[in-house]
Amino acid sequence: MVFSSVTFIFYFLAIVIFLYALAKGKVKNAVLLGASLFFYFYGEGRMTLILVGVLLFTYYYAKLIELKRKRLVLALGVIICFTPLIYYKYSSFILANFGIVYRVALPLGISFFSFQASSYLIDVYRKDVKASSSLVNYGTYLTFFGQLVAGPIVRYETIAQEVERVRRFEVDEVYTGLKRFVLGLAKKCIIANTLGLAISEISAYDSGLILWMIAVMEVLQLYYDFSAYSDMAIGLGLFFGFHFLENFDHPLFATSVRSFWQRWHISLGTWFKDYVYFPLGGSRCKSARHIFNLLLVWTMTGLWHGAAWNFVLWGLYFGILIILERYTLLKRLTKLPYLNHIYLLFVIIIGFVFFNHENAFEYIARLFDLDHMVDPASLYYLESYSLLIVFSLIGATPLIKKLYQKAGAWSYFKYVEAVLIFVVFGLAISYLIGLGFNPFLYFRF
Amino acid sequence: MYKKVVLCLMSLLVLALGILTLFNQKEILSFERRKAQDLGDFAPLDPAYWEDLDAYLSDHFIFRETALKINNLSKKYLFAFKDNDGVYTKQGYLFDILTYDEAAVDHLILKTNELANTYFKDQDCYFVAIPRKNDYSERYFPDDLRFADIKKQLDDKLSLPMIAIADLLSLDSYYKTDIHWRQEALSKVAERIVESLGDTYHREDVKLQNAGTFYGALYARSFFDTAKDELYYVDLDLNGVKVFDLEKDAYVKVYDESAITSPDAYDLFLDGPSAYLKITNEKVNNGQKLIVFRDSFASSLLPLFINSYEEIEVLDLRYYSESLLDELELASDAKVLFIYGSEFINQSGALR
Repeated sequence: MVFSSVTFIFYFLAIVIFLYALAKGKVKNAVLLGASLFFYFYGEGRMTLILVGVLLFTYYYAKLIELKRKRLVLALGVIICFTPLIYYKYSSFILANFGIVYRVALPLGISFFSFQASSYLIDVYRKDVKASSSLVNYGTYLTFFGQLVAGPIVRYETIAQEVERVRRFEVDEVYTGLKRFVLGLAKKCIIANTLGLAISEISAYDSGLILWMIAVMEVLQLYYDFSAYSDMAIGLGLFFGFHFLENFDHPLFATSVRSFWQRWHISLGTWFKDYVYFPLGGSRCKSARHIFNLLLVWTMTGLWHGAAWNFVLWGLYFGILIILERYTLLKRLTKLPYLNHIYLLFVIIIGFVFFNHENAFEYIARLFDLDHMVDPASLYYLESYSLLIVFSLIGATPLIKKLYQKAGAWSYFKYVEAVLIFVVFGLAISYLIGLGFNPFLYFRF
Repeated sequence: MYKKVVLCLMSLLVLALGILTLFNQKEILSFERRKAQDLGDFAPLDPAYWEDLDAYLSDHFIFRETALKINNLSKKYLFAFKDNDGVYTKQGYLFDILTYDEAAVDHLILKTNELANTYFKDQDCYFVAIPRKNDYSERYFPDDLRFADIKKQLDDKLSLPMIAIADLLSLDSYYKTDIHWRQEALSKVAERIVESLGDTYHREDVKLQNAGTFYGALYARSFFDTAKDELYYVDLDLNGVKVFDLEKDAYVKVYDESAITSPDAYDLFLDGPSAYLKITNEKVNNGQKLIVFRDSFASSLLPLFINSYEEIEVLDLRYYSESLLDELELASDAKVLFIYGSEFINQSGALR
């Protein structure tokens, strides 16, 4: 089930909120757990058993880790936790490299809940959190439908207190959650999906200008699509009393690749930093080892996104850029206001060609083929989609947020805001209806 | 306080739309000219059931048509798109964008040459290509398909004589909201084709009947900045005329006015898409017979042939496999006409 569907908004969510409001005390978590398992079952059917398996295993194994706090025990637990992910996501890729064709369907969101579950085992081992004493509470944390299939990757300690205590509807928080949910819905339905349609409409053409438009729009689409999901997840969390950490912070407005990755899919970056990069020694080691650590983390980041060589290249591309920035470029970039934004956008657009196209090198070469740069059709589409691209770029900067905050100082703005919520909701619903089935791009990870 | 009001209003809105949608039962989405998603038997273990449920609820959403209109209009006024899903408006008409597919045209030419040489080598065969209405309007999309591209390829490679009709058509020969031509504008076209076949054309007194308002296939994808169409048909003397539909194994009407409320009102003409029709006219005894291979454009044209021929056999190879042609025992003393719109010629992948 996707958030941006009639089923979710007008039925599933409405019923869950109603049941949650009726439930007393600890039954509230049981309602959320049941709803989350149904949410997953709705799209994945029997694959739900994998989610339940990971849930049961990590719940009981964390108790074992508390009893026998040994590295070997932890390592075994993490390996078992990752086994379904490795089988479903990587077996086809590994075997394909040996010429063996083997296909298996990827369960939705397996990368997200596997990383979340493994972080729980590690945190219990490190004594950052205590193992949960309630399967229902832990299950609520691991399977919460708000962020189950596309993140953010929430660490147990972030919401441990909230999930263990009895929560109530708080008007201020639910209102903030509603704003955030509607914002996410609008970003997904109005911007991301429209960008997706535009991309598919022009993808039959191959002039340089069209390829540049596609490359730019793909980055924007991915940003709006994924950050929209995170917005909705954070909003849904607030409905039920959970405070998830931010997952995006205007990454396209960054001035370096390093800063970009501190603002894009923050929860994944934090996971790799805390559970791979720091344990390897991070930056507090010799340069050669530091470079090795970075390349390893970025190779893994690429592989997390997809089991294919283009994702490995994509990860390495950013790893190399971060190393270059760290050792030479960063000092120069800080002295180049405005130009550093252009640098960032350029390397991001090129980098995400690896993400979106298996024939990335050929695609990039055609981006710079001056002999086939412009044709009449490309000018037609540039004119047609220029406002969409400009609006999307402006929306990706902090400008709107700043203007919104300034307007908030005006005493009557709250009424304008209330009207805006309904107008934007209505517009987003009209796009949702118009586009039919529109899954989130990050579902495939 | 205002936050509580907003939350209450939003809850009521979601609840009301959800409940109203459950009671909004429709079989046909007339605005989109398609059937609404049906909800099959309850099969919770089958993921496809839940996908169908999503589609069902979306199709039956209480304000679906309004939502679609807002969606289209916002693309024009918010994003200034030059077209919506390949449909644009010019001179009060809706046009769709289509790019030239040389391979598809070649495919059609190959199939037509094969058919003519295999099944009708002793019969006179002719070909008519129908221009798009875009050909009668200034070029809007730079790479839009032009009739001249198709015609040159046909001239070069087709082994049949072609009957030209482009000079008899103009923009107002077509519907504003649909790709098809209007039957009431086709008298001269019918006359030209029949006489080019060497047959005698029975001129009709053109009396028109209005079947009702017509929203064509392009309307739902437009910015709604064009007038609706009226669907007229030419009132003919149909005494003694019978139309047999092989698929339905029944006689059907030349004009079926009940089709005006179906997903595609253009099905008014000759019962819409059908694999094989046999039209006979007891009043005509001139020995003239015709076999027509056609697409949907011929549905509105062929009624104008009825009083000129004893027998017309009509085949649509999108729905009837060429390999089964022998089973039909087509008339061996009939002339053969291939008549296709440019859209079909340029997208001939559906040819079986």
